[in-house]
Amino acid sequence: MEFELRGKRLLKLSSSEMTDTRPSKRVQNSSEKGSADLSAMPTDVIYNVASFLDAKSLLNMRTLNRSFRVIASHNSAGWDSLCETFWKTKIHIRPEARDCTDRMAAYRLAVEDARTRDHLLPEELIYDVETKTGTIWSFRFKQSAGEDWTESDPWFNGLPCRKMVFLANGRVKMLVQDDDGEPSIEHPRFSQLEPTLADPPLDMAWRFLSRPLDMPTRPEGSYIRFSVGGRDVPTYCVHRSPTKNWGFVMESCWGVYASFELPKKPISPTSRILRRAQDGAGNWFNVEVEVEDGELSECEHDDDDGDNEEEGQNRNRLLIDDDSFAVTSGLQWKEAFLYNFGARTLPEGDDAVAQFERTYGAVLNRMNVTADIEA
Amino acid sequence: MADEGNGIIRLRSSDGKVFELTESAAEISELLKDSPREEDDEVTEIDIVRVASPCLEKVVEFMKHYDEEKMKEIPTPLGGSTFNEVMDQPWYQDFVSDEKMNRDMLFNMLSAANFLGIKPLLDLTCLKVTFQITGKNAEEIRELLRLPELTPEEEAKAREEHSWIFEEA
Repeated sequence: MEFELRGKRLLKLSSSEMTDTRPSKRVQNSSEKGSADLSAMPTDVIYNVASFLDAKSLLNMRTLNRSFRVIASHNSAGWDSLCETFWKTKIHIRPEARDCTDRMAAYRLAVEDARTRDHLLPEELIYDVETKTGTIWSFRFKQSAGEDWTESDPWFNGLPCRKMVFLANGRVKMLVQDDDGEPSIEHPRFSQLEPTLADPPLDMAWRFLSRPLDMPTRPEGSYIRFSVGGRDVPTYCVHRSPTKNWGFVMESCWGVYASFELPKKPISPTSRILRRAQDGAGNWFNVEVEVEDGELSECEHDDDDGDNEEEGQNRNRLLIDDDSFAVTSGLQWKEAFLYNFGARTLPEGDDAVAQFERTYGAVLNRMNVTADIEA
Repeated sequence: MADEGNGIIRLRSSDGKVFELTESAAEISELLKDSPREEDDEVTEIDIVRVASPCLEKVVEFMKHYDEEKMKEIPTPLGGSTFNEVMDQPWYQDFVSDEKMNRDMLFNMLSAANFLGIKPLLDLTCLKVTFQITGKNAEEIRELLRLPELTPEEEAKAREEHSWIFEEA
């Protein structure tokens, strides 16, 4: 409504006219005097609040009542951006989740998949040479492989890990980096790499198997068998990275692959610090002592909460310290034994154990080798 | 008095108090910007019958300040874990944190911002509400928003459905 009043234009904006100008749908009718409740506001406003919330708070909102449930489940509540932001920090997102148009369902699917699926999909393993897409794996030996292998391993020399790719035809290639471009450690996909494919030092091939000699049956994508220089090496077991980055790690008793850049080996294991000491006459003086890095950080963070510190140090050692891995030669001793015995192929399938016992049981018992290997 | 092309707008609250601001300051309100006025008018009076004076006073204060110092757009996802980390402009921090800004005032402001189509004020108040909700459980949120309680069965069902996220590390 408009009135001419003493030469001035007077606009009277009533709430009914106001609401007509805004297309917002209402959750419920707000009172005319201006309600102070979020639930009484137009859904646009609630979406505005929701879009700032994190996933947990949004799901809390979803439990409030029917209206909030509908709003907090909707894509407009910010699920799209939550997916994108969260997934940016993760390595492998379930492809179906990426394609899912219901973004809350997509978020949920991805979280559940990361928690429950410990085997690789073929597309998560393979690298496509044509499109230059797919996973680039970093590899290093474990200390247990022995010096013959570790001394020529770049990781053991303080360099970034070897980069390996698995082709759909079952071949394994190595990615070689030109001198000018240092691989990006931060970026899990190494997208800045402009590498060239090369043959590894020994000819390599890969295949999936579901029942290796020392392990229980698991779905396809849980175990990989490599042949290196024409000889099978102990099976690589697939699991999610303990760093919770949704990446995959596959490890045997002697080596480890990760679908992201493995952390570098710490360069200097010891540091020198000054400590106060007292001589026989009771005079204080400084003395330089050598300490392990772990010990040093203990000195520096004396006041920290003990539990958190221990947890933090354990986390820092993940994928660096060989003790943080699950597959040991104790666990995989049969395959390790056969390899060291000179076997060209390692058995697999349900009969493998029985076959192994038949062939080597008597020998092993006589030599009492089992106990030695397990020790 | 007013500059060329920059007249005066007078806003009258539901309880009859009048607040004055320049046309340029009023422009951030979609509603006021779109309000019809004649070119030769120096002063336009507009009744805001839905907003009471304590709230309208704050809204006008916001619009005047915004005209001097624009509020930065709030990015999503938020670039911080506390309100002051996300909103790093001191004036805007204080604006929604001073002693006048109790719970009811905040929700009234939010309502007024939506009503008047003041996007930055809507974002700012929504952000404030967001940080009041974040980290609270459903019961606490329900209390903050004054929602009726769910029955224990409804509550248990709702939580069970979301167990997947609460287990995520």
